[in-house]
Amino acid sequence: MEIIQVVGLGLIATILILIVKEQKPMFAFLLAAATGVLIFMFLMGKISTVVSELERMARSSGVELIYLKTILKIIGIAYIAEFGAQVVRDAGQENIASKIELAGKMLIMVLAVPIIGIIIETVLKLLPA
Amino acid sequence: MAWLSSWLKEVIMVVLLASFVDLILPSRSMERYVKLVLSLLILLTLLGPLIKILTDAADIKIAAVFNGMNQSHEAGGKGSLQQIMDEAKQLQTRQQKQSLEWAAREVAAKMKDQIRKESGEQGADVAVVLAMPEGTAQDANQSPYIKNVTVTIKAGPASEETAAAPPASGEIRIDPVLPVQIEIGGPPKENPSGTESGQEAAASSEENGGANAEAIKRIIGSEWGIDPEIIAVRNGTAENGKL
Repeated sequence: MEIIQVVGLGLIATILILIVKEQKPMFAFLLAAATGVLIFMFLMGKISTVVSELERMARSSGVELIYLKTILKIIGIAYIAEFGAQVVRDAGQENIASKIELAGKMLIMVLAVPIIGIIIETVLKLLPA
Repeated sequence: MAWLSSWLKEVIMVVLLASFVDLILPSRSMERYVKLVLSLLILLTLLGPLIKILTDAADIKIAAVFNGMNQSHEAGGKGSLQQIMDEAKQLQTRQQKQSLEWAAREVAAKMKDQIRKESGEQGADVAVVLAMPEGTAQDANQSPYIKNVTVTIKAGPASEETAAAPPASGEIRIDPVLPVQIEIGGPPKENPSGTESGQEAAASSEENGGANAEAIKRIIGSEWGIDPEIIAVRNGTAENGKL
């Protein structure tokens, strides 16, 4: 029944923000950011369960652990960049939010670089010299 | 057939993982990029056996590249962590050496004072070598010990000279001159500069300097709680004093 807690927290925060927003927009923003972080933290435990299960499955099926690590890094980067960008966007800084998203994209691409390198190397070796 | 089944297992697992990641992706903005990386991973898995034949193991290479990235990131572009640690160790050693030298100078000054008070020897020069206990260089709390003490007495004309020009004598006296060494009651091995010339000269000046040297050794030894064996008393001759 954790979903009720999360939704309840979200609803309460929304009502409070709507009330506060007229008088102090600054506090409304802080409240929104804090709620976001709280929900994120709340989900951390669940995420760790999923990750450990994925790791166990990968180990039992013989997938290279470095692949799994890459995939998990991608998820992490995507989530954190998204979260940060949304918080900044809520504060009205669209510009910075798009930069954060760009950083997330770039970091994901950096993860792809060694993989691309190996594939290209293999393909080049396949071709007759 | 074992490799085929393991390869199939791997492919299925990676595809499943990829679809799972695709599901839990937060937003559409990252989608294209994540999909690119995931498809590359699937391609890598599919090509796995081929890569193993043609090149080294792919996972080792990827791990090496990631490790390299992490290291360069952590060091902040200033070289590896090991390098920084080495520099820190060098700095620490230098600092320790400097503080030891300073402490040795202070101790030497104190000893000189004591010798002057107790034995009335005016022109005695004291050199103290401090050292840290071996093998515990990392431990900052280790206290140094006195490795050896060299007392140079300016006897005869030399002492008169120092009396004539007291302020300058301390500055002019040069350490590297070959001092005459008197070793009384102790083996000469303690003193690194216990040369033959020192031994020869010792014979000549033994009768007048012997008692004095013994007294100085006793004074310093009892006052500082050090073994009289490591105290060397030399007798500066007249010509040394002139230098």
